[in-house]
Amino acid sequence: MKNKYLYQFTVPKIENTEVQETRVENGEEIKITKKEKKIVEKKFGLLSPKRSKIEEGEMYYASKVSENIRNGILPTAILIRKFDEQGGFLSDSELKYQNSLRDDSIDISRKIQELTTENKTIASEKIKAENDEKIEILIDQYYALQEELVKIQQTVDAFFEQSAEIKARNKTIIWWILNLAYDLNDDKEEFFFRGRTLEDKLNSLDDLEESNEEYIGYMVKKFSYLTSYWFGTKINKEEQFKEAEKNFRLITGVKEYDQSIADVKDREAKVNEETSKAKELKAKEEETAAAKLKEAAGIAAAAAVDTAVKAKEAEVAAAKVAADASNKTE
Amino acid sequence: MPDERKHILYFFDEIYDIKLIYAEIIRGFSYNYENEIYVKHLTELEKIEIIEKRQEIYKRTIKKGVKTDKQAIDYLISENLWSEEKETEIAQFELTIDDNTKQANLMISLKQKKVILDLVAKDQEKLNAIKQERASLVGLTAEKYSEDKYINFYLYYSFFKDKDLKERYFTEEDFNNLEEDEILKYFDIYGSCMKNFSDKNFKKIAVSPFFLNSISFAYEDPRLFLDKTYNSYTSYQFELFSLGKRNVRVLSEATASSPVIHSQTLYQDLINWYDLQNTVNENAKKEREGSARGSVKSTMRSN
Repeated sequence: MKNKYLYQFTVPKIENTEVQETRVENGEEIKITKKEKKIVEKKFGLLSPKRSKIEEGEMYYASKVSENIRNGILPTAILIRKFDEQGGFLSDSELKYQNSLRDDSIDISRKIQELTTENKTIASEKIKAENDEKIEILIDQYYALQEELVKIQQTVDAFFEQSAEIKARNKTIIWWILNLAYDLNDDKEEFFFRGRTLEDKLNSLDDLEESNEEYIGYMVKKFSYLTSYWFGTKINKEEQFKEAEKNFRLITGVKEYDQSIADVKDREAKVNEETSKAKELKAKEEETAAAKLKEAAGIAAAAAVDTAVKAKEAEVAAAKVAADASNKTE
Repeated sequence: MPDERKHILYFFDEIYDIKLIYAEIIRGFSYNYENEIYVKHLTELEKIEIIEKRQEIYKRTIKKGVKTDKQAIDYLISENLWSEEKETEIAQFELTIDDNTKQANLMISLKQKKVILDLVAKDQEKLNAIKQERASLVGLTAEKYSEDKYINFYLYYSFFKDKDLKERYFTEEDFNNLEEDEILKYFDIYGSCMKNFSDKNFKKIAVSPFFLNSISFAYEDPRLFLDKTYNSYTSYQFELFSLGKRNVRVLSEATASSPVIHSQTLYQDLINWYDLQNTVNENAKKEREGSARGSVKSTMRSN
């Protein structure tokens, strides 16, 4: 069974919660309701698109490119020619580097293919395991190269922001965000952006963005970042998304939101620490009091034994006196 | 030298494998043990059914406003990024390659044949480069999109759960929900099942005596070969039957004596013999037809 989601992640949300506190003042118990900021982790997912959805996405892209060209937006080919006339957009050394990355990438891909084929025919489990290990390393290297290529591509893309293809690509990424974002909270699994049509979903996105809530902005950025990364690199493994997530903090506004979360967490930790310290102190006091009580009880018990002994002695002495007196009378 | 001999596969080393491939063609399906998938060999009509899917996708794509090849080329020409001359160049290369390939196949001298085929390869390289340049400029068009997508339907139409080829491996829903890596995996399976049906192996079967015997009985009537009409033949069966018929004809028309199969005969020796004899026959036929046409012409002139 294939995973329904490409990736699942949590987004911290600051929620104002009501906390009840009980205090004793002047011998009376008073209940106080306080508003406190608390971090709640909200769960989301990127749906793993199926064949029919992928085809729909590709068709959306193609139609947007055609629409842009019809509307007079220049395609990449023409922009390249214009840049060429002006001396190109990557220097010779940059081009050489890009080509070497591509060559390395092809080379690694070939090695992975060879090892995979070899593993299909090989009998020795030991060699198979060794090959698997090599394949793992090669896959990591392959993705590192792809990432570097994507970075170069992004530099080149900057030249083409206004081209028919890049404009279409940006629209397609939004299309994918609207179609992949899933809300996984409150035991539900539903599209994050509501509505059946693309128009409805876009309206849902607009409504959310209008809310001006920091959390919403952060989350939309996270969906956008992960979806764009997936669209550009076609990664599909959890660890690849985790790796990609590391650079999310470079997006504008993310660091600030993370800081506000960290502040609340710090405050929470401080309160927790104070509470636990108070509890500890209270426990210690109670412990001391108990020890004192125990000690007092011990002393009292000893005193009682002493009194009883003395009483017995007095009783015996009294009995003796009584007996002597009786003998004397006789 | 002895090491080289180790790698040589003679006719008798290959015959059993060739018979197995033949059996698979006659059965009309292949089987993937690992995944328990029966892969049907499609008939021409079934392939047309898949082409219908291509046309459906194409129409849908056009409806969505995606540009066609022609619109894209017209736009590129209008922007001076492409030219009519380059389009003509493509057509010329295609024509030359086709002509020279046909000509090479009619060559008796292997040396001459190689010279021509080398020229074909060079032209092919040039054609590929120019087509590649055009494709990168044209981008995604309705034609390219539908070509890319309809291919997937080969999986839907070919994969079955049973050897009677009644129960499809994928339901329509399952097929729509396949993920990209699953599609690649199934294409791997498809490819591994079909890898034996190469031109080379078809030629090997078609020169094998066990096959030629059965074809010679059914030369005039395909029903005598597989008990069905041409339309029900799978593409592989059809191709094999045609090749077989050609070789039976070659045998019957050959002036040279047919090759003797001994312990060091290579399949390639037999293939070469049949190809050569066919070329000789074809050339002789052309000569006869040419002289006949010539005589008609001269008769007309004299009238």
